[in-house]
Amino acid sequence: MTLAVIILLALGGLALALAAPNFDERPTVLGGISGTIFGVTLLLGFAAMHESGVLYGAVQQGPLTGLAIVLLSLVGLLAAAGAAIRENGFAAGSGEVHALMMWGILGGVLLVGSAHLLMFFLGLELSAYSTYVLVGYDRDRRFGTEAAAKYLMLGAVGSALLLFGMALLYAETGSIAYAGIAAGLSAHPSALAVGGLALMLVGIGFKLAWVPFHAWAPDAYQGALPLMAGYLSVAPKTAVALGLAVMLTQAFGDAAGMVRGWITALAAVSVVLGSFWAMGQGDIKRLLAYSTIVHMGFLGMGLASGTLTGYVAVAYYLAAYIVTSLGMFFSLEALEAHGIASNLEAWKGLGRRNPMVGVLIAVFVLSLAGAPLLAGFLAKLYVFAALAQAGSWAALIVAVIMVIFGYFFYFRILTALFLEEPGEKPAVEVSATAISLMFILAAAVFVLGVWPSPLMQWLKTAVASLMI
Amino acid sequence: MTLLLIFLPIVAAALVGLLPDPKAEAGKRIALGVALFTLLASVGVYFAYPVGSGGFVSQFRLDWLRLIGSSFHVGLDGLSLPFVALTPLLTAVSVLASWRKTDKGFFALMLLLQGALVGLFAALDLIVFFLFFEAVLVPMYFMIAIWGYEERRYAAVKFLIYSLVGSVFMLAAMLATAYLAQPALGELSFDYLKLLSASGYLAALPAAAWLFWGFAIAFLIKLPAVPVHTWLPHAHTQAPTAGSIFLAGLLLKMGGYGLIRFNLALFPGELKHFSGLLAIVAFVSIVYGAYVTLAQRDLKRLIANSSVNHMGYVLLGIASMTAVGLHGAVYQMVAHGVITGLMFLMVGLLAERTHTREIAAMKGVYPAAPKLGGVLWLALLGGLGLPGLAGFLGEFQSLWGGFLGVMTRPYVWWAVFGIVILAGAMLWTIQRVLLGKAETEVADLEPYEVYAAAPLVFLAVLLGLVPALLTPWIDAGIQPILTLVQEVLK
Repeated sequence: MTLAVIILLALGGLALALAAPNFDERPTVLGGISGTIFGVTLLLGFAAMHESGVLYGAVQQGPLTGLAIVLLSLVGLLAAAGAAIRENGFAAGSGEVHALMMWGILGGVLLVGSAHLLMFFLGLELSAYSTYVLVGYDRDRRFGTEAAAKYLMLGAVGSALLLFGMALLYAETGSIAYAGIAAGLSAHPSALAVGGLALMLVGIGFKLAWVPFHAWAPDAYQGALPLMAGYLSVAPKTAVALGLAVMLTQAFGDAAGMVRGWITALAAVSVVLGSFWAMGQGDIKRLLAYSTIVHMGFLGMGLASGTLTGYVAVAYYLAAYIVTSLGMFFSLEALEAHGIASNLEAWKGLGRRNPMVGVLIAVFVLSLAGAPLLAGFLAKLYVFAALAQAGSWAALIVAVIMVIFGYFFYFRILTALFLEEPGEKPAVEVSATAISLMFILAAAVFVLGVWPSPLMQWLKTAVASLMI
Repeated sequence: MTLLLIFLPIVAAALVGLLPDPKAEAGKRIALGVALFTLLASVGVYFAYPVGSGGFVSQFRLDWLRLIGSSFHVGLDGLSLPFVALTPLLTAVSVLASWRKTDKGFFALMLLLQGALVGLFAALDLIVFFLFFEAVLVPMYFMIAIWGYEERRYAAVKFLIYSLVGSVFMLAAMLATAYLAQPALGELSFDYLKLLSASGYLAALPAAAWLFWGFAIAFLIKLPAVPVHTWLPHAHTQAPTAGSIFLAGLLLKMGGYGLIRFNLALFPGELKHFSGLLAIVAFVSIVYGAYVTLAQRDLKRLIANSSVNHMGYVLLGIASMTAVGLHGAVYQMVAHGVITGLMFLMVGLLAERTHTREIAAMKGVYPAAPKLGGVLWLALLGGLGLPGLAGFLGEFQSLWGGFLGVMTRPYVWWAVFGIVILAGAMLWTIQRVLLGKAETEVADLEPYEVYAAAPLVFLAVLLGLVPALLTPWIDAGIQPILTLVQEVLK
């Protein structure tokens, strides 16, 4: 099934790219095809969870790969639907968007499933290249081009460092397969191996936007169309976070404890500085970029705990973040499509100009802040529980204090929405597609926050394979 | 039944919010109906409670977050029932007090608050308690920030941040408690009753003091105790009348309730260790709160500050760790909910009529509007702790308990000054606002406003004269805790 998913995504992307020029007038056709393919791979993902073995010595089949297929296909499905929010499609063509997203998802699946550093790198680059293009898709605006340029440059630096780290690790252990590397690393690795691991973590840190490797994120988010920024905030993050979990448990062997310590430090710095920087933002996309940095910090804390609770927390966090973040960015997309810029100034009084949109956005914002009964709350709660279980009291204290700052900057959005006077501005209309998508995602945020047990149970069985 | 009391208002809130109801005509009627229905139901549960045998009734338990051992466990006992009954009562009063409002969102938020507060008082799982603790914040924030007076934004943000600071430390302490208690319980559990059985083990932990303060900070901010009380004058003053009634009548009680429920029951050793410090905080709150009350020029702010004084008695009673003191603390909380609720109701109605809250601008309200003035008169006398009204019994028992407690006794002598100063403040207010010759016309109470005030007046007098309506329940609630505390302290 894993093989079928890989083939389906690769050929599907190719078909969409080739067919794209013929459907510029009817953008929804390709969106429908793309959505169908993702729907199929989503179902195949459930089947893939029961497989085992390694494909061609490079791609592992198993519960975690299945989990990645399911989560990433969900992102693809939602993003394909989200492309329909802009009724007239994108100025630079719509079919290519679907093709690029599909390849990006394929890259994500490969990098989670990889059993091999080369495959990891290949998956990462495939996922990154598609996002480079997507970020710059709004090419007629200055910010779009600037965003893509910055993202490409810094992304390339990250990839280069990652590759260099891999090379050092190969020099030390003589292997680029996970199992071989794990066998060659001790709890006190040599300077060469420490350098290799550190450089690899820097490269991965670039992709996850951990501070201090985050500099590209605010610009990339601000310049990209909201849909692309939304995709960027969840698809590569989900894949890299799961891929890193696999590496921590399978590739780093006895040195994993040391790497987990570094991750804790990076995560704590991201949470603290990301929160501080987010407080001063007036552009909502920039604010959400810092919000992503903070969220990836919380996620990193879960990853670093290295326990079953921690990995379940990470998986749940990703699921919760997918629905919340995509919901938020879909709202932005819907509003930008109707000419309302994504900044606090333009959002003043939005909750009165269209109460329905206001309340739906409030659900997403509150979930990002971690308000109870919403998915974002449980995501943080599980990470905190993992920290308590691991006895990481200092990290726990830092994390809970930063929640307060989080509330502070998320509530600035709510303040603009509900407390500011709309002035003379007219009522806001958004398309029915947008409202229904936002409503579905808000409902998902609520259901995940209130009744998480089935999902939790399923995630637990999937990530339990990491602990063996 | 517990579930009904929690979730009926929440479901009704969603209904009110979604109805196409531009003038909130249906919304306020639904809110009033739900509040009255839940009031009847909770009064029924209250009187059906077996005060002789005690324990938790109407328990409901559902596996919720299995991985971390948290279940949705709620139940009611003698400690929570008075507050569970007070919540719908004050909701009904608040709805009537806001009868002129035309925003359905306002009434939806009130119902949300009601459900969340009942959930908080009924929670028997730490995570569930935290959930409702936080769930109270968001509606209250919006209630202040959207419908408050002129400095509403600042007040709302201050309220939010102070509350959050407390709650996040409480969350950390909860997680730490559950994980540290794991070896004693043999499983990871956030269940209050299970953790209670491990309180002897918790007391021996080296981190017990940290856990104690994690909880205590949240509750001291909520109570509020000097010096973390500074959010209160702003929030209470700037909130709309209904918001002030909720804040004073119920949100402050979260602090005292939490201190008894968690700090006393789970960490009695630490409470004993720090009771001298808490007694100082209580005494400062009592005296300083009264002194600051004396200096206010804004009538609403005056009442807000008197709450600092009143809640100081609660803390004193708890810090004494005696049965009398705890009785006093709970009695004082209920009495304060009724009397201060009444004060805020009257002052809100008065401010609506005079368009000012300046004490200097009001004169002779009693001759101008005898009904409004009479009720306010009674409320202010209740606030100074006049014997025969509910507040006296609470204050008296708290002080007596404080006197019986070894660590608290030295501070009781000084705390008595708080009574004198507050009495002065209240009497002076009566003189300035109610007495004298009426200078302006003040419309007297409308019939629905009389209905809003009537139950609170009735209760203020009834609880002042017939303590048997409350003490057996308090007894059933705190005796088991005290027995446990004595076992642990041995």
